[in-house]
Amino acid sequence: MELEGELTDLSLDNLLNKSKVNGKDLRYGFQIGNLNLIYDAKIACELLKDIIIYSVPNTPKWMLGLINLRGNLVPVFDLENYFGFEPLENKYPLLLVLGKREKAVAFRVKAYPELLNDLVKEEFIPKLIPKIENHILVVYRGKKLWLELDKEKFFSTLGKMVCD
Amino acid sequence: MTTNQLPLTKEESAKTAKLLDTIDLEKAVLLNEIDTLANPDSNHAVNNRASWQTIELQFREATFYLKVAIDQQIAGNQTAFKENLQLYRRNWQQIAFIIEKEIQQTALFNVVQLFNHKITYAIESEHELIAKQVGQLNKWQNLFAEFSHQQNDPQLLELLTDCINDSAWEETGFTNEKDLLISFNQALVELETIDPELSDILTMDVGIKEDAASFSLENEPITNLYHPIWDKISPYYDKSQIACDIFETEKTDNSLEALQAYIGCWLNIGEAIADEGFCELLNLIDLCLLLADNCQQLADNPTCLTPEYGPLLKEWQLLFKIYLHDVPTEQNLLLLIKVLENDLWFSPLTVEDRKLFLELNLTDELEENNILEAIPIQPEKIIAIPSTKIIVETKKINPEFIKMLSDEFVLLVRNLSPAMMDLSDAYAFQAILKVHYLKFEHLAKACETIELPGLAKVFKSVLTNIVEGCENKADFSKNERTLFNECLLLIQMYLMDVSNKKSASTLVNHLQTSDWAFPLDNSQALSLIQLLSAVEISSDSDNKSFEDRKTTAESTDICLKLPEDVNQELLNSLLNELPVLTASFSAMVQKIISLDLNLDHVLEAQRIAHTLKGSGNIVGITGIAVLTHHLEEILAYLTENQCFPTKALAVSLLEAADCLEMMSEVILIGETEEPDNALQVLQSILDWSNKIFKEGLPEETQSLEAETNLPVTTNNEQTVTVQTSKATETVEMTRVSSQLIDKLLRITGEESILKEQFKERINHFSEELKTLNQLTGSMQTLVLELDQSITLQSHSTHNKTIDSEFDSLEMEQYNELHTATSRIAEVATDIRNLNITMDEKLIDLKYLMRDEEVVQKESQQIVQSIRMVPVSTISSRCQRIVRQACRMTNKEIGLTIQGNEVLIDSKILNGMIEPLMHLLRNAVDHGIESKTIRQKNNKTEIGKINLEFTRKGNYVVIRCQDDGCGLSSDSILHTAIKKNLITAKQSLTKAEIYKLILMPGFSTRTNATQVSGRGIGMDVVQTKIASLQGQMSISSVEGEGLSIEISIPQTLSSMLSLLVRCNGCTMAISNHGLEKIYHADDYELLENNRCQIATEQYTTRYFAELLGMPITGDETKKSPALRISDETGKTYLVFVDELLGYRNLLVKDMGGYISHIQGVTGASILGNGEVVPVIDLVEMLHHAVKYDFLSVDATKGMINKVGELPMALVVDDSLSARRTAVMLLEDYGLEVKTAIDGLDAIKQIEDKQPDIVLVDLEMPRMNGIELSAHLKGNKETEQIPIIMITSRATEKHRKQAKAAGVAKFMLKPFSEESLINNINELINVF
Repeated sequence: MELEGELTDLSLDNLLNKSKVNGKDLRYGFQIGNLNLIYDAKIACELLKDIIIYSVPNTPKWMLGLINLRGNLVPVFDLENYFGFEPLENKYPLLLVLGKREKAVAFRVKAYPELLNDLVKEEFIPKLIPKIENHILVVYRGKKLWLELDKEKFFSTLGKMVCD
Repeated sequence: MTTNQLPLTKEESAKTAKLLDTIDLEKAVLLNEIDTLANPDSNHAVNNRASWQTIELQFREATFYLKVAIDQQIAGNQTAFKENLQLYRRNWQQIAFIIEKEIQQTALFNVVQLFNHKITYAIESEHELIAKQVGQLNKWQNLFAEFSHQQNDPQLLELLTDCINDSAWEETGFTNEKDLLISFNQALVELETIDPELSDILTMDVGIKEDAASFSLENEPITNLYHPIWDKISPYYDKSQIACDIFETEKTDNSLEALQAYIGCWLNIGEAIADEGFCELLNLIDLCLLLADNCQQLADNPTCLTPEYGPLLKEWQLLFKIYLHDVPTEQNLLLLIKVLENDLWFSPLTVEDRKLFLELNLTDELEENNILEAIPIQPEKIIAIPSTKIIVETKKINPEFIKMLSDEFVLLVRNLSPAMMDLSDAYAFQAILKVHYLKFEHLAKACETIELPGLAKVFKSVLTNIVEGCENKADFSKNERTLFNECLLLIQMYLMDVSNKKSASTLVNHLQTSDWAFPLDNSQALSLIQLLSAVEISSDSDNKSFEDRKTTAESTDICLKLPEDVNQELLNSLLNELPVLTASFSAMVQKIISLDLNLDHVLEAQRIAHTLKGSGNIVGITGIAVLTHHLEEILAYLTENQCFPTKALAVSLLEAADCLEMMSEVILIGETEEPDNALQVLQSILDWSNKIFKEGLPEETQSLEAETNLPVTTNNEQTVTVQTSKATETVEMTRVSSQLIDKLLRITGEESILKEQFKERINHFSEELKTLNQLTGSMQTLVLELDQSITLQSHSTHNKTIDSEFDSLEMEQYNELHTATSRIAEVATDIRNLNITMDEKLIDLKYLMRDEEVVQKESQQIVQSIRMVPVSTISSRCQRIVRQACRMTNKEIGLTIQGNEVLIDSKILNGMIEPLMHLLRNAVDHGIESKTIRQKNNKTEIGKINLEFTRKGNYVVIRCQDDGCGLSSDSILHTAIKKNLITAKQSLTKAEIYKLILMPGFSTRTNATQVSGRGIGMDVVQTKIASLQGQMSISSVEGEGLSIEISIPQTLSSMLSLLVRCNGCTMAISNHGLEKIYHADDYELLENNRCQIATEQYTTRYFAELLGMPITGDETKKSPALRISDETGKTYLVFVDELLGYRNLLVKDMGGYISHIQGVTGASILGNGEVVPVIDLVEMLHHAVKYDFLSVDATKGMINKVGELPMALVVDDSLSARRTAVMLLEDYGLEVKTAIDGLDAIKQIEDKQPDIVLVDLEMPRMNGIELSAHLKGNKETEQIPIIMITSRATEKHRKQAKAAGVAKFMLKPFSEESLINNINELINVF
């Protein structure tokens, strides 16, 4: 597991140090609205709390702005807003950063991601909201239906929308 | 060599003379064998490790017995001495046996056998060993031990021989000619071949005491590789040598006789040479005869016979042999001549004679190649290949490759020469090697590529030794440095003639020298010599007959595809130098065809073509290699014949130069598509090359005159740094990816940000220290006051209670309070002292920080400078574009480029290429008129385009001027009206009219041209320049020309920006379009968003409005204003809330997913870590903002329209309490103000109402209860929620607070979370 810099006090050290448990691939799941999204544990990730987001003019409201992550500027998105879900409660504002350096992207999550290792791959991708259906790599079934997000494609689309 | 003092009797002398001479001759043979032994190429040199191990065991045993024997002799035990000596001899007999049977080294065997004889004699004789002999035995042991480790060292073997021949043995008769004869019995057989005349000379009654092998005395290696004549003349030579020795040692009549014999020998030698008819030795015949003649004159005047002639003859003997050793060289001939120039001779040679001889020799050298081929390689010299014979296929190498390799190597040697000159300076030597040692690796790779694996191994071997020297050792020893120096010379020699096996073997021998850190072992040497020798030079393509020459260019000849197995390093190297070389070639061709008739330019162009050809061949890019090959042929002809190209040839050369540049560009971007005209250009060059080969250049046109129709572009002002070999000699270039440089830039940027943060912290700390100082001062005052109070109090108590008969001390009236006060006073003083120390340390820290800042800035500048490139890198491209456009439009235009030395960020310069090319094409096609029109308009036939680069602050200004027809306002207006861009009624200024040409698709032309279409892409030019943060302005005088001025920032990585605050947010405004900043008093607001400054009126905009923020401030309140000018020349005044200052900001991208947000150049991180978007106001003014500006704070978790941050007022008389609260609340995103008590709070609330008040209970002047009551009693402030934070926990206090209107009552200490929750509950911010 490749991590960039130190994790915050919310670090998932023990979990992140392994990307496989008993030969099974590890993934992390988080919720955006009613979407259960997952990402590969191999992707560098970081949880941030209490970090200032600096707004950027002329950007849609689902782009919250930029954060200064150890000298790197990382764009922050509000995915609830983007997908049109209810706004997040503000009690524990958390940012989940995926990727590192120029490929780092951050978005708000309402809770810590959960570790998932007992997922079964689904053959078919169910009908989803249009904004996400083209960005799902695989659908897994655990206790819930989890959607593996094509991070690169999805955030590239978002970035393009911001620039357009 | 020591003199062999044999105790001969007179009777024996006659008999022994011959034998002694034989011995001396045999010694020469022995020494010859020693050399052969030293030569690893020899059969005998095959190292039999096992045998040597056995020898070593025997040797150790022998050493032991010798020691015991000597000890016994000292002890007087003669029997034990003899027994041990016998054991010692037995060991040596074993050693001799192994040497003879297994090692098979005759010379060594002979030496050891001689030694055994001496030991035998010692055992058999009645004598004891004298001290000198013991010394010699020990010396023998030591020498042999050394020899066993350095078996190739002939000197050691000589020393061993000397040891045997030492006079110490004579004193006890240990020397015996019989021994010698036995040991040399093999050689006696060979004596039979000696000419009968020799016997006559040998029978002379002489005692030759000097070593006959003068060659070995002079350390001249005797090898068997001699000129073919040597076989014929060697008998005469040998005799002459003997005669010479006799002549030198005898001063009697014998010397005259010897001289006569000597003369005879040399006459015979001269004749033998003449008979064989070796033309290169014609000089030598004359010299031999001259020598004989001079000697004859000397013989005719015996009175003149002086000992001085001996060394002279000896010198001649030596030099003669050296001359015929291997290939006769001019230098060696000169040495021979010098002998005959000696004034001792009756007819010495004069300087004129010398010149004549040398001239004759020079003529002879022309046929040297044939002679070289005639030289038979002596089979015994070639290393014997063992049974596991490695078959090495002989490779035919293109001589061009060898030449190129040789050039590269010479260049390297030149670079290394400063270190080579002074071998005493180990440090300089090592430092220079460190810089250049990778060159050896490159050369090795190049050798592998051109199939010279042997030489590649040589370079690798040298590299290994250098790396060892540079990295693993403190410094090179002088010996190693000398070795290295010699090695370079030997490599050079080998490169001069790679098929010369002698050079190869000498080089390999050298690399075997044990002084190297990693000498070659025998097997490596064997394989290396095979590889080095298996090279042949392929026949020179230049010598091909005309029929063999290529006449038709084929598509494969222009192919730019890289071979699949291309060596990446070589390719990188090519990519590095290709653009520079092609640009230089182009510049040279340009010079050749200009009026600057200088053959140096032709030579330089030829050299560049040669280098390009070599590089093309090595990497495998046929297109480059073939074209440059034929170009080189043409240029070589021009150089040789000292003429300049004709007009037609000049055109072809120029086209070829342009084609090469285009090829270079194609290769650089990783494409393989050949330029459109590549085949045509190559055919043209081929035709010229063949024509010149067949007929030469036509006489009548051999000088290039000021041709009028050439598409010449001039660059008189150009200061192109032509990167010729001279430049590369001194500067090592490294190809580094731009990504790496970007990363470096980023890191240095981060460093500067961190430094700013550090600086801010230090300043903050400094401020706090000042406060601490003040507080300490206050404390000291208070302590003083306390002390006084206590004293007064104790006095009054004392007056009341104590009898006045005793003073206070006597009555111990100083109680604990006094003591405590004193202690507090002491502590206060200590704190003060500590403060002073801290202050001093802080000052030191500031100095350190300043130094670090200087270094950091320097490092940042250096890193930035890596990306800075001079304008000259694109100037040849500009020239080419103009030339091409000229050819297509049949115009003649001179392009002048000024300011080639100006440095621009490579990203910007690359971005500028396209717009510049557009502008130049437009200038040629649309600007400059045809010749006839120019003549009509009284203009010079040659049009002028001037491209000027200048620096203006942080900007580079590019001005492209032409003396063409300029812009026609009427035509532009007409077209604009036709295209409905404007109405006929609109009145526009000239600048506005000119700006119309920047509209997409705008063109006044009715027909498209191949060069620039219909005035192509001025909108594209405009967009591109804008994307580079640049601006463009157009000015023109109809009929006189057009001037386009572009100003672009010198670098994109940092940008001078204006920091402003708007609605509580900090923003940076780039200085793109920013013309001036006005203070609020400088302008007058008018109606309808206009304002006036002096006589000018401007349209006004609010910065907040441009960003999509609400304009929160009072519109009537005047703010600072920025004057912004857009591309159309229109100026605006933009109001900003607050100016924070100018900063040179490092502008960063906004992550990999966000490419460009309209109006936002990027973002920067300030010293305090704050991120500020960098706004391009010109872009903002042009494009309406799409989204409202939203302020986000993760800590609040809310997204709000931008307004001011919620403000909290902290009221506490305790500094620490205030500070803690400020830090906590600021961290949670509140704006925090503080007050020291109730009254202060009221004053601050009057200025600005907070959203919440945090108040302490107990405070001087007005306490918290009173303040709360005051606020709640006031209508304007009653809605402000109040939180009371106190240490009073009683219910009474709670009730009081509640009654006063306090919303939340908190006890100290409190938790952060509870405070935040309370605040959130009251004002709902988190």
